[in-house]
Amino acid sequence: MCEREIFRMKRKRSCLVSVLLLCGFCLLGNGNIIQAAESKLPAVSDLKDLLNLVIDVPTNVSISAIGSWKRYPLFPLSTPEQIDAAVDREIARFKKRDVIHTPEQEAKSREQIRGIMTRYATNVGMGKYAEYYYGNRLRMDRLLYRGTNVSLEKFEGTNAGVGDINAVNTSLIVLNTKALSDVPIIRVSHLGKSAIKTVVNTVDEPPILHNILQPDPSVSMFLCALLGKLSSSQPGMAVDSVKFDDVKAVQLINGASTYGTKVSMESSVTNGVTNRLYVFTSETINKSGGVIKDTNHIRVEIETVSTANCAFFTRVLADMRIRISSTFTPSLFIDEKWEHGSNCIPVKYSESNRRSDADGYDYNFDHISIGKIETSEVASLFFDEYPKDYFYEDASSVNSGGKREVVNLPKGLGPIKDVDGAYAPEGIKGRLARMWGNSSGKKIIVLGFLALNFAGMIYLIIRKKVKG
Amino acid sequence: MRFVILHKKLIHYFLFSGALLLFATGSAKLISVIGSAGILGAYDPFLLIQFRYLFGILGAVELGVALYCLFSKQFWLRALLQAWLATSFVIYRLGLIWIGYHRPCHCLGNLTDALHISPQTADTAMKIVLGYLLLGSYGTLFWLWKQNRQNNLKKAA
Repeated sequence: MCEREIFRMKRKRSCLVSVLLLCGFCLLGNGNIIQAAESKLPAVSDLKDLLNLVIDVPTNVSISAIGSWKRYPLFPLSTPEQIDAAVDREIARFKKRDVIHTPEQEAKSREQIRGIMTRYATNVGMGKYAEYYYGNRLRMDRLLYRGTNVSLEKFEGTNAGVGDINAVNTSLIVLNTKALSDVPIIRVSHLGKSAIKTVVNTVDEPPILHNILQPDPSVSMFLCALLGKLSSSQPGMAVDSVKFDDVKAVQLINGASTYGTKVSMESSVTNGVTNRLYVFTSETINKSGGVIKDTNHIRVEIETVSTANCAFFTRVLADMRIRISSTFTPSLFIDEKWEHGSNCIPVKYSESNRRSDADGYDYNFDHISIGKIETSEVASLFFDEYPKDYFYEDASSVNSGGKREVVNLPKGLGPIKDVDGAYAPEGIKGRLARMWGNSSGKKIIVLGFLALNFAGMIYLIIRKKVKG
Repeated sequence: MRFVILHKKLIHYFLFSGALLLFATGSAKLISVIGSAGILGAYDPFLLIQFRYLFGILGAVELGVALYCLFSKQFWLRALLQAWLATSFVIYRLGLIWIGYHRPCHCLGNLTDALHISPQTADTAMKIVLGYLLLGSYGTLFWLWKQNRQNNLKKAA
């Protein structure tokens, strides 16, 4: 090839690359793409769009949940010193999250947190679980995470659509809608709201101010999807009348007290955030429903309970690998509405197991206990979905009169000792399982092949260079 | 001799087209990174890093390979790089199938949304591209190896 030809060829290539780069920049500058890339919330105009949104939600949701379980501290609450420490910790978190601004707010928060902590530690209603409260919470979150993850894999594996998601993540929602002024209301009560927050990965959860979600695309999508799902399952519910196009941010206030709710909402109002979609849970509605009146926000209130929760609890409890036999059955702390759900797990409402705060509000499902048997139907329900060997032979250690020594966690995570409020190391196998989910072995092999492929290429290059 | 020249031309065209394809997919990934689609926040099932970063890294690598293939004269290295990338993609895709992930691959990032292309269509297109790169690059390497061997034999003789 002569010099001239080489020059011509090079010039051709340079031109081509320039054109390509130009095309790339044009594409980048294209309004549609930028708009699509920057939109925090998808523009949702009708129900169909809402439902379509669901498709991509669970991936984010589940993966978010992975990050959440670690955040829950495990500490006992049986002595005044421990309570003090817990209060300090919570206050520190409030500050870190910029929820507390003034000394007055701090004093008030401190007082409230101390009250709740003390109640956890001493309240007869909390009984023997008092000092394990945070332990339970941690465990539940791990189980939730795992449950969600398992579900997700199922979801992915089946190339599923809305229906599958309904059976997985959004299964914990629903029911009981009623209108309040011109705002659609979906009420989700105590028994599932923490699942929502776990699934959508909220910030730390102190006892009072449960969750304040910062605007996050995946959360927004999740909630939109949720609302879409709800509206489709609830005849007469007018969720599709909400103009989601106008929503600039989503804030979930999940089981927040009056004070916490006020602080968070005032904060967002002061910050000039408008068109925010607030999602409240029932406690919030009851305690501070009128706070955002006259502000330019959309309010959605959610209440979970009954039917939807059944599927969810089935999954959670199954993941706990509790032996469901003639001597054990889960007894959930539920409110009266539970019994009205015809498709529920037929567990009877048990007054003795009920957890209430001073105002008579039930706490959420963090407090799941293994109580006495009330029906054998539960067992069949469980075994229908999970093979029998999925469960441990003996779950008595899970609830042995207030002193748990060994907690059986799902396969892969290995038994984790719960001694003096600390989890023992779970081992490399458990860690891997937690990191990569159920298919950790396969994933490691695939990564190995990728590494091998890379190493092979490097080897060939070096060999060629050496050989010349 | 004429046969060899013809082959060289074919290889040249293949490597050039492969580079263009890599340039396009790499650019798509990099453009996707600046967006805020939900998928970008999700984690890759194997590498456990967010798709945002994965797209960024992968887009840069693809662009790098594409630019090298456009300007370099070394046939074997251009073919080797394309074969490496194609093999990695194949391993990744097979891995996804193995672990039961059957959703469309996000090879083009969320650019497909912006261009109003369905993920399935984009996925199919990317499979075709992958097949093209894989067969072409390995074919090229094989031919180069064969040529090299013949040359060596001639020299030895």
